[in-house]
Amino acid sequence: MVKLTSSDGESFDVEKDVAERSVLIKNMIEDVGDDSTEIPIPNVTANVLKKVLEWCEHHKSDPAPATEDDTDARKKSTDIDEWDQKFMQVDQEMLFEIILAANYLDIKALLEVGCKTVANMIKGKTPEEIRRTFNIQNDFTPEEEAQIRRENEWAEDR
Amino acid sequence: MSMEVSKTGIADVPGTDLDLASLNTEIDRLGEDIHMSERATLSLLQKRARCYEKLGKFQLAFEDARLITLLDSKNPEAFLYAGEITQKLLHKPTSSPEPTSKSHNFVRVFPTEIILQIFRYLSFPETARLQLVCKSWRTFIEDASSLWTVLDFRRCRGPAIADCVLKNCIKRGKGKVTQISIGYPPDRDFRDNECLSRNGTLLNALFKMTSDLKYARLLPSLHTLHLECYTMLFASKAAYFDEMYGFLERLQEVTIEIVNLSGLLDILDLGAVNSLRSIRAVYSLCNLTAEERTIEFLKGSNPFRKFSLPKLEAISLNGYQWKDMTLSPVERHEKASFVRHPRGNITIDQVSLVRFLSMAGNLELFECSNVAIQIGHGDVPLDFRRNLNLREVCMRWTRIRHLPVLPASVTKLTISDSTVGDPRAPLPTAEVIMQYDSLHKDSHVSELDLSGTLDAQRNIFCALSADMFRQQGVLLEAILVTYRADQWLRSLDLSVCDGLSFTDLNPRDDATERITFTCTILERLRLIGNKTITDNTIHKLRQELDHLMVVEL
Repeated sequence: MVKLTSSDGESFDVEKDVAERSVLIKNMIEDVGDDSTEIPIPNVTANVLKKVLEWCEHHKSDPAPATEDDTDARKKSTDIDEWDQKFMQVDQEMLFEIILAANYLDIKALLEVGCKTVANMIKGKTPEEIRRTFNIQNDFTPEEEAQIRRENEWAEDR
Repeated sequence: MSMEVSKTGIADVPGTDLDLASLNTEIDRLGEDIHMSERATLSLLQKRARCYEKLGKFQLAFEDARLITLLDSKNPEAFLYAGEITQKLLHKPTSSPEPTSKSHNFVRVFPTEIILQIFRYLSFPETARLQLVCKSWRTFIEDASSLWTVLDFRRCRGPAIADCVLKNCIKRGKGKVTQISIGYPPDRDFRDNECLSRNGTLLNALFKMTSDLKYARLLPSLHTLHLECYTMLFASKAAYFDEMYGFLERLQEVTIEIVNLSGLLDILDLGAVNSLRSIRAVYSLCNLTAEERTIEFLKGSNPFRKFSLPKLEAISLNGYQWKDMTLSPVERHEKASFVRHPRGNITIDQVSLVRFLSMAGNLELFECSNVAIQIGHGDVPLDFRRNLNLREVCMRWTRIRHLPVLPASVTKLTISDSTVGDPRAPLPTAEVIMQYDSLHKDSHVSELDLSGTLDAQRNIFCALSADMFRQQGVLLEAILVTYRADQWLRSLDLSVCDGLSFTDLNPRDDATERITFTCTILERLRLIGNKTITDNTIHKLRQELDHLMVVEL
């Protein structure tokens, strides 16, 4: 068992192999050389850490991540397995927190799932739909917008 | 005097009815002194406003906020706070504590690497479209060269494409462009006028750019070039390929589909394309009649022109000098699928590249294991003896006057319809067989598939080669013959065969004829007493025979 402490001071007792889905934690455990010490996670709050650990628990027996030289086709696929899809059904705030935590904790597979989820939110949408999805202000002047639209007319998907 | 209206302040503000009651008592006690605008008074009012706010009583919070602005009229923060309360009052977000207007523009928040990872899941023209979302997205995408490395224009459906588009995209790739694809969306008719004009523009831009040294330098990493353009490129354009030399030498993959391009040979001719792993040309007008160039090419006088492509894994030439413009797209796709090949194969399909066929055999160090030649014709003998890894040669519907010379490694040879010789001149067949005999003294072919050959040719071939095989003591482990190949069977000494299988039972055959053949086969089998032919085979033949008898009677 490993003890992890979130930025807001909450402690979590986690099985070692669950915690070690995070390369950062794994390295820390190795550096300390002692499983019993408490590991602070200063960048992640308790509610996010809880969620991340839930993912790690479910994926603890996954095979080691594939090597870097993945085929491009596989990289481009945004298919997400069912459990992960359900797991990612959270509000955007939480989704982004999870992505940032996965990045910080160095959990490649979780980061991948998070990025795919966001990519799927963008895929096939018009710029206006994307703005609505992420609540982004259109900060172009009408002239600027028309200019960029002209520049990228060729890329349109009709 | 100053207000301390800050967001963090809210945490230490009491938020219960009980707290409110004590605040009310304190403020009531001030009575008229409330207008003294003491710091303490303001602080109390502020606390109460926060308290009301927390309890969701925005009307009361607003009253207090307004009072604060009156008392502390020189403090802009007081007005800001009053404004904030007004907003809340108007929107009454009593059910959801999160303000709904919060923006989730991750491009402003995430580290670059994460944003890139997200955008990389989107295809090329889609990422370009994202520039319209907002300024931050536009700047990010414009600057992210890694989003401009695979320039696949095949899915663009925009109405028009300007000359400068390709150039701009390449510039944004900042020297990292690895792939350029020009062609058609999968569901679009390849003669669609919009596609035609767009592809034409892009192709011309590409040729112009690559022949301009200034821009050619922008493409140091290009390794894949897909050109699928049913566009009339005139012979003179082939010259561009000579000039493209500078970046062609790094190319790993070239696909040319439906391009009226006489420059294919120029690509191959650049023997310096050492990195080339795959050449695929489909339905292209490849002009190999330019005699002098071809000869130059074959001579290999220029060290660069020595035809040596050490990394080549696949050549697929489905090019055919077809002039029939009415060929439907469906047909085209069927044919195109013909040439999907595993690694290490050469597929030469419908090729009128007579010279190329002759060169194919001379590819040095070519580590391919399978050569398939379909509908090719030529009169230069193919010599595959240098291709020491060659295992299998397949020739279909070819009109090649000479059988290829094979290295000892070849164990399977497939020859089917109108293979050897020109059907209009039947004589060469026998000649070819004779060549075969003399050229294949060291042949190790153990599997000969003749299932598709024309009868007349096969019979001659069989009559001759049966003797040849017997003389050489070659074991034919598997001979695939049709029932109609009775002559082949009669003349072949089956005692040297390790296995025998019968395929391609032709339903059009006359039943009587089939019975006769089957009898012959059975008789033959019995006579020679070949031990290696399984009882199962004989049993199957017997069943077939019985069945035929019944039908006939």
